[in-house]
Amino acid sequence: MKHLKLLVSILLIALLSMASMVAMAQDDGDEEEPPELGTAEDLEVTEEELEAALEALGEDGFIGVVACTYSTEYHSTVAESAEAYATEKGLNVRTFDSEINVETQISGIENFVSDGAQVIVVCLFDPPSVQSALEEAAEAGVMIVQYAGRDMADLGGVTISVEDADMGYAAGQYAAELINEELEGEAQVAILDYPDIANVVIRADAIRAAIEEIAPDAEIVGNYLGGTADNGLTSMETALIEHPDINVVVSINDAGALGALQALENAGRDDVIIVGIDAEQQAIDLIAEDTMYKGTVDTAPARTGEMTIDAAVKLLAQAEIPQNIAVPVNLITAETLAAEE
Amino acid sequence: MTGLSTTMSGSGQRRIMHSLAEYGFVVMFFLWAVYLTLATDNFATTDNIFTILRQAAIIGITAIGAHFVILMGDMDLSAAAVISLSGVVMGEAMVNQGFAPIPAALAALVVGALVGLANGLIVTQLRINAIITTLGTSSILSGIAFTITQGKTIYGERGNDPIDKIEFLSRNRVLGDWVPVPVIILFACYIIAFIVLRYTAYGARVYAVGNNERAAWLSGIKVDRIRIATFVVAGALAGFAGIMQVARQGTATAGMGADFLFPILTAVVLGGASLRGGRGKVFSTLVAAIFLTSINNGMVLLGIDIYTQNIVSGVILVVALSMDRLRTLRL
Repeated sequence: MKHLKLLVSILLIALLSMASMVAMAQDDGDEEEPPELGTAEDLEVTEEELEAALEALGEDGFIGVVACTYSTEYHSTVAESAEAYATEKGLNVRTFDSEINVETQISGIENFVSDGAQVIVVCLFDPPSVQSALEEAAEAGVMIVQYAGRDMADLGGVTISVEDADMGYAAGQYAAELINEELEGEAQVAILDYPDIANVVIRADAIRAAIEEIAPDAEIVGNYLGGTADNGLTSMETALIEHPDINVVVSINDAGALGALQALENAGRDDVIIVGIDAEQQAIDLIAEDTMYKGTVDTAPARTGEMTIDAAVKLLAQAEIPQNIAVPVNLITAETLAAEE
Repeated sequence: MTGLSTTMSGSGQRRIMHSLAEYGFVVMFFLWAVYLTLATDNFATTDNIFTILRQAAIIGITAIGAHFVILMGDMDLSAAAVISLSGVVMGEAMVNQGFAPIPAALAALVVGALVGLANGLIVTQLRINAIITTLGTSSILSGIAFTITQGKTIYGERGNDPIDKIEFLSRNRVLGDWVPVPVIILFACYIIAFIVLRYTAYGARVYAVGNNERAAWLSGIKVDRIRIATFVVAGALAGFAGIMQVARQGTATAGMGADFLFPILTAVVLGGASLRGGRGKVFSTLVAAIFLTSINNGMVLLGIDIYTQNIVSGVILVVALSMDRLRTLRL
């Protein structure tokens, strides 16, 4: 009897936990005015500004680059590009890998601040959780440059970002246009998502919005876990069991899409439209070779890295710059690649 | 009469509880499989079952090594990092250095075995706790993998990709073009592991060390050597899993093993191996690995929203682990 009670208790606790989590409602939130966006031209650095920045940094000051992760080509390229660009200009720079872990990122920021960072260039995958660490940094006089997001503009810093909504919409828009042109408007679409990162959810939602708007007769069969090659591969293998007629895959990044491509090829498919985001080199190669991979959104990671350092220099030199800078989104397709040659 | 009927219902209840305790998560697996069979059209198809088994292969093979280590009362947290580093070594050797598949695979296996050797030596000679040791080596391995790849994906030229030479480890089917190769490899590894643990002196010594290390030492067993050998086995198996993952993905990335650690250790614990060592059936770890894979598979087939999947898989695991917990309670 005692053990039956224990078993029932455990089941009830599990059910209660599930119910309470499902019952939590998300706030709709007030619709905010979109920020006014500057451009890369607003970040052009003069010789005087660079000298002023070098003087401000002195011997011990540095620019700390806190990356979300190094496990994807986009994020590693931003951080490496920032580091190389800063070094080329003679600026002291250090980098840190947050490994998509909130505690790790908080520690990284705190360590940089106590070590003498004067500017922190940061990618935030969970902005609310790290906000207090950045507020403390700002109170200590550290200037903040955020890339791949716009949450920290309130701390007086600068944000340099491709809008996740823009990226997602561009990918979804292109996929929808191909559905209309090549599939007469009808398709079974799988969206590869990565809900662990709040900003990426915005991308997936924008992909869905674009498809629903531009190809309304296409059926979105589901959001599946992507984000990494293995996730994309595993999810697509299983999705094809349930929906063997999937003929369009749109992914929040190239890594997941490449995994899905592998699964589709393993299944003997060569008739699927695949669109990703991040413009990883492998994706670009596949697009140029006229494979199932049809397009990717270039988020200009190398240019983003350079722009973060330009922004840091401007801030150190106390120059006026817009608070929010847009990194332009470019769609890469076989046509755009051919035009470049 | 009343007393007699009370005794009988009490004994019937004890039998039910005893069965639940003995077969723990297997009951949960069975219920989940029955539910999926009834609720979906495609769960109980050959195609889907082989898909599950194929997806379970990487976790399952690595879990053998983790099982061996846990049998000794230790834990290896570097397995996922070994998968990543061995996979990167394999990819780098074949794609960028022009190695043929066999030498590249040997290099990857040697890397895994050497990591295991390092873990074993640190634990036995420096007397550092295995959890701390393998956490540390995991971080080092991850750094090495990222240094080699510079954060980029290793892949070959399409149509002339060296990695295609090992794609048979993932894509091919045997036995009348029916059974996927990874499934054969998975079961072969478990049969070998079972034979080693059940019928060899080494296997007996692994259990002996886990059961009572001091008694094992007093009986003449070279405890440190057994421990080192076991970590080497675990490292080599994780290295082999890294090779198979490269064959599966067709690419190699520094983070490719990162998501595997939790399911690997969960499979061993769910399979009933005692974290104190000395107890555990390797085939139970296999069943647990397949069960874990079937959870994700089932949620996709059921069309469960991606944002709810973590909740559902967590609930299933909690219930399965709770049922398993019953076996340690006095009945």
